Amino acid sequence: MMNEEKLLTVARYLEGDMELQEKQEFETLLQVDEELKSLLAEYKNVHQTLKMKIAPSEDDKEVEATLAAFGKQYFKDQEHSSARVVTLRPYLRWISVAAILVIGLFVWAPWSVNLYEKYSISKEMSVVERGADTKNNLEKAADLYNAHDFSAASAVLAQEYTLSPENTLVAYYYGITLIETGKENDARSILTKLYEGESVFKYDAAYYIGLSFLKQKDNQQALEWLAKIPQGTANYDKAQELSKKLH
Amino acid sequence: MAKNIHSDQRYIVGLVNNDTAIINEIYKRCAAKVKSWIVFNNGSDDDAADIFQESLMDIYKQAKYKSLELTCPFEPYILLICKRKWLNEIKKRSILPVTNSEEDLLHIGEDTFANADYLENQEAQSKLFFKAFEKLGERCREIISWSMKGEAQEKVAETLGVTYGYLRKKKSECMASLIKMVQSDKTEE
Repeated sequence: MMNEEKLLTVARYLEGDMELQEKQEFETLLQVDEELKSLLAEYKNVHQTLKMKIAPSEDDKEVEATLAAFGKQYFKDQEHSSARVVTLRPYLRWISVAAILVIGLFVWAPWSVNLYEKYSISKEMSVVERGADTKNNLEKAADLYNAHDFSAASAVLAQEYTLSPENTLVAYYYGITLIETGKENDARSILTKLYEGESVFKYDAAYYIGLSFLKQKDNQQALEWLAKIPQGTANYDKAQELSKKLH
Repeated sequence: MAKNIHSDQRYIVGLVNNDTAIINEIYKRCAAKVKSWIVFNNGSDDDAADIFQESLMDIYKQAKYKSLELTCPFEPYILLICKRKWLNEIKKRSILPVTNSEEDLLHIGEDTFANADYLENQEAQSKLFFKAFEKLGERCREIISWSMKGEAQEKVAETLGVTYGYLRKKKSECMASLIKMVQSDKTEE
């Protein structure tokens, strides 16, 4: 058999255009004929590849719809509003609500988070705009930071920080985004360097190290750092006020 | 072919079954990383969402139609696919990338590259096959696409206004000439 003939038999076999006896003969031949085997594999490959392109099924559209919905949630909403529906029997629900409230209050300790938010100082990151039509990375980071997308801002600032660790502005805001994204230890090692240096961010860095301990409910260390902020500097009053609340 | 299927194959299975809990897990684990990398490389949030979705759809289709088997961890795999897709896209739009193509991927295992390469090859193949398909006569294209939609043969015959016997015969002939075309395209290259 020529290749062309073989190809046609493969097609007829797979498309169900063979009578029983011919089919059995084909299957016997397939056991021994390597060329036939590879033609069969090639046929299936082309068939399936084309099928996914020209005849997508309903299932495919449903999966695409699921992905689109998650895409919206994870890529476009700034704050995650992932409301979960939990159904419980009514009495169980009230017991669990009460229990969750009690446990939750202790674990979550909203008062220290609130204090952290209330006493944060650098809510806006501002950089010098170059006025060019494309934004540089620092401007991008500032936009993300000001939109409170701290994890995205952190990623950009991380790159900038590696490029120029001596840039105190980058180091300072990078430190804050690390605190915001729960990496307090990393934040402190960067901010401590700033505090040990002589930049304009020296005492701002000390203040934020204090806040990072506050966020982790380590009031003792928070107080120690707040105490480093000398009278006459910008954050002195705030640091004193906060210290009183922590005592 | 004996393959060591990675335990992260469960993500692939979840995708194929449209399992929202698993798909949510995928987004939770990877979306922020894809987003920050693409935004860092001059893309927008929308670009990132599109690239991520396209990559997942590619994987889904390979898994559903061609039983894709993952032999590497899922997360670096999808990240690598997204990065390559975005680098292709910015080449098209002639935007300059910020990072060098794969210099930041040095910690990724060879198996991950191999899996991603496989997916890329499949995409390239798909384009080739479709080109061949487009070279077929109109009648053949009609018969093949109708048949692939999974409708009953009798119904397809009726829609196309031919007899059932003719459709069966013609379909095999059309597919055979398609494969022949693919083969000759391959030898031409």
